[in-house]
Amino acid sequence: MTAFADTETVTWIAVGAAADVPLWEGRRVTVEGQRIAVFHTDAGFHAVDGSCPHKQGPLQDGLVADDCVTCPLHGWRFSLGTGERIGGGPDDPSLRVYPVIVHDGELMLGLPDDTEPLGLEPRVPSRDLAQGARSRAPLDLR
Amino acid sequence: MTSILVIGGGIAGQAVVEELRRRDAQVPLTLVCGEQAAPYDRVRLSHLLAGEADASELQLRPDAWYDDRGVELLLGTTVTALDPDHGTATLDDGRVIAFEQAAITTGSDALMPPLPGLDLPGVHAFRDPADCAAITSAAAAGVKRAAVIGGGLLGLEAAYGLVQRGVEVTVVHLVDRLMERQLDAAAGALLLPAIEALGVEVLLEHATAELLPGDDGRVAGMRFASGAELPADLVVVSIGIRSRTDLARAAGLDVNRGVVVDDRLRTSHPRVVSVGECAEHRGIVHGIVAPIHEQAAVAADTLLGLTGPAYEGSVPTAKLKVMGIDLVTAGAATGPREVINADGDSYRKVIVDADGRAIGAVLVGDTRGHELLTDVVKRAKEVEDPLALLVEASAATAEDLPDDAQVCNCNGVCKGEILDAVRVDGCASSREVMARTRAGTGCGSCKELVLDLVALATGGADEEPAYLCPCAKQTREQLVAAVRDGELSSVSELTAACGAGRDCGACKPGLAYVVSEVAASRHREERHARFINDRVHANIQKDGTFSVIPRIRGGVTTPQELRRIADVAERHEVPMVKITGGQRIDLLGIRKEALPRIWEELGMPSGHAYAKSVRTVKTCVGTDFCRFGLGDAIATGIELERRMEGLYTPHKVKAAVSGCPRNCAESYVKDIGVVAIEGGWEIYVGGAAGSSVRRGDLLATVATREDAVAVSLTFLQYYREHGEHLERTHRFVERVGLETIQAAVLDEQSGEPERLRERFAIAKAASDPDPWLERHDPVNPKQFAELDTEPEPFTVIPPAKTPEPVR
Repeated sequence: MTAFADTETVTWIAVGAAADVPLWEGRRVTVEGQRIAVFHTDAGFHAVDGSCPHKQGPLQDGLVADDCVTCPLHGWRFSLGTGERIGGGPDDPSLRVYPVIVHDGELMLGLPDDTEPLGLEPRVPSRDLAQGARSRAPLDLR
Repeated sequence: MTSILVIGGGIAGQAVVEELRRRDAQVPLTLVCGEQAAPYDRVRLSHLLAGEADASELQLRPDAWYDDRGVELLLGTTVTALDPDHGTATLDDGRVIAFEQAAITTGSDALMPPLPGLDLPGVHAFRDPADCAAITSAAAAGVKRAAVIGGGLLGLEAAYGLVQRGVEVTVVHLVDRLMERQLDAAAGALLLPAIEALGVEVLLEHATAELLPGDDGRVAGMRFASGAELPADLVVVSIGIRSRTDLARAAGLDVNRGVVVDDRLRTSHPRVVSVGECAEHRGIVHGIVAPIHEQAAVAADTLLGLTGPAYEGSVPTAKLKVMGIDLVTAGAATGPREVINADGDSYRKVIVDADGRAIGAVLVGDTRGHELLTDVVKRAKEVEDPLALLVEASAATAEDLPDDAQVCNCNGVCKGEILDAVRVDGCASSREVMARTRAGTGCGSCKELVLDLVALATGGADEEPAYLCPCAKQTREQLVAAVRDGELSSVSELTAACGAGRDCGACKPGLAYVVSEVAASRHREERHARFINDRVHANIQKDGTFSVIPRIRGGVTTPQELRRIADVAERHEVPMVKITGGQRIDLLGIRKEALPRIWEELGMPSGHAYAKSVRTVKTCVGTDFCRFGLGDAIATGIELERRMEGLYTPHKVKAAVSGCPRNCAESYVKDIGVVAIEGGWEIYVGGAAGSSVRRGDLLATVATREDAVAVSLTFLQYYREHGEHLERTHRFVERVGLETIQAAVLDEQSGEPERLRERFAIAKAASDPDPWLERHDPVNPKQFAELDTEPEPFTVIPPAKTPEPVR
């Protein structure tokens, strides 16, 4: 369960029913005071910071496409796989990406054990995380 | 890492920041702006005065640009002291910030002559938007006669602006011709009647001795050295600039007229450069915009320790931005050898030095080829036959310009950069090229040339079509055809068929519109393709809460409704209750989870104020109570709203019905505006009063209220079928043309209006009249909640027999 990170261990937290996040939509969950947005694409589930680093827009309410979400407030777009901003500048902040798995229909969010303080910078190779999440996602939830 | 402080948020400060960021995306950058707004384009001040632009349009870059590029912007802040040795700057709020290197771009003030009476109310400089605002409000307050002191470029532009605002203007100029720094006597002689033809009186060789107060203590006129007097209740002073050098001087830097800089734009301190109207290079302070860009590029190299070409001075160029007068000059106005090509209306001259090199050009009345001539002068090219050059320039096209000829002086963009934007960077339209290079976005005088160059680079290819899905390069027409031919009924099917909406997802609401329109509202609704507003039927706000606007047709409500709204607002401690511009009541600051309960308690249908659909039909009181009403605006408005509501449209649609041409419901500036006149009704379309203001076009005049509603609905359906996604009706009407629309909407003989109304009726019948009813039957369990929250429970209130608004 911890194959996605070399140095960090992870605590899995159940955050809700997978069926409650419709395909191509997102919902927010608050874990230890941190807002995290969970998205459902045809590749599975993704979780990233729920608050847009631009003006704190609610990313869970954004439009979701193959691998990205667009903030509903001002259109900042982020990769769900890497958390990086798409179409921005090199200095733009990224979103933290969290691993998600589905267990018995329940969404499990992987939080690094040294959770606080949660910054905006992804500290682990987030692409691996997302792929880890994807490979664990059941194929059909509908 | 080094950090750079740019002091002064004018064009020069912005230019330095842009040149730095172009070279280095990382270096920490702080821009200190004395004004409360980000840098704006002072070159276009005259457009502001003439009412051809508004202040917000002048901002060089949107606020987000600075955020996006990591430029710290300190607005409303000035640097009060600079210590280059220690690398610190003291701000007016007492803070001290450290820097490795600094750029002084403090610009200039208006030069004010030492005249008695200069401090009288009604005397203004013409230098910044505040001056403009003061002059404009004076003009609006009924100033009759204005005098402009100074017949240079800016003075003439100020005079033009005032004439445009209906003020009588006299330009008072000290010497014997206008713009004497740029023009010779002959060109000045040609400019004078052109300026007078605008309605501006010109007094040459008049030295102002004193400004005179009136009885009210405001300026009332001026007395000249000759003793003659001129009445004027507004005086604008525009005689030149004075570099702002106080900060540099106090910091111990060498200062003459301006802050002295070398060919690397370095001041006498190695840590500090200076650029723009505060800087003096080889004894010259440039007071125009083009040199700023040339200086900024070199200064950026210097700041970053890069080597690059040195700055060896600029050839001054001038372009008079006064409608109807063409005037361009470059370099010297006179010289050893001059070749002139002139007739009664135009004057074209090339000035050549003793070695046969071009050193100046003056073009009045006919400025064809000015880019080519300016370029020849800037390079001091050897000209064997100046007359042939003039003739050649007259016929020059965009193609003839050398690649490094500067096209946009405001933003320092040369031809090659524009061509590269197309050829290398793949821009396909002039819009993209202008966004990328900023060419043509300053004073706008080079825009035509930019369009020519884009056409040249694209091989004359048409502008890129307006793609609804730019990722998959699908136009609305292609998507409509795909839906129709494939009998598709959902966005997912459309995405599977052509790839649209897959990559970035931004166009999915547009795809949803196409699907719903072609299928006449009988599509399969997919909420993931809708913007959040259309998933929860409320308008998302900056803090993630929502606004709730119940349907109040025609803006007519009842005491019962108002009481219910008030009760809901109180019970839920709604943070703000606001009357909207569309005559509705808006409850702001509602959490997603509270939406269903609030709707239930309101017991009113959705006002669709969040959707791209018919928003509101505003009405005046029409014949019900008004003494002047000619038609029943309220009944007509309510009927129109009932007939139109609930259908998606390409963009939002705001409508109004006015009971007489006094237009109290503002029908002339609505997407659809109906106005009662004696014996009938007028229907206006394509009006706007948002970021654009446009008076609607008169689509038709009809005899009866029924016909007015029918024509409105026919137009609405035509717009629904032909409008681009997110194209408001004012753009739609301009793009398609009123005649085309009239032919389709009014020619009953053709049968098309009837068919439009039929398709409209079918789509309307299948549309959802009240999405708020989803509170009883949400499309998914968490439609109005997050993963770890639940929608607020509510007790279903049996629908009371709500009386219709009393009429």
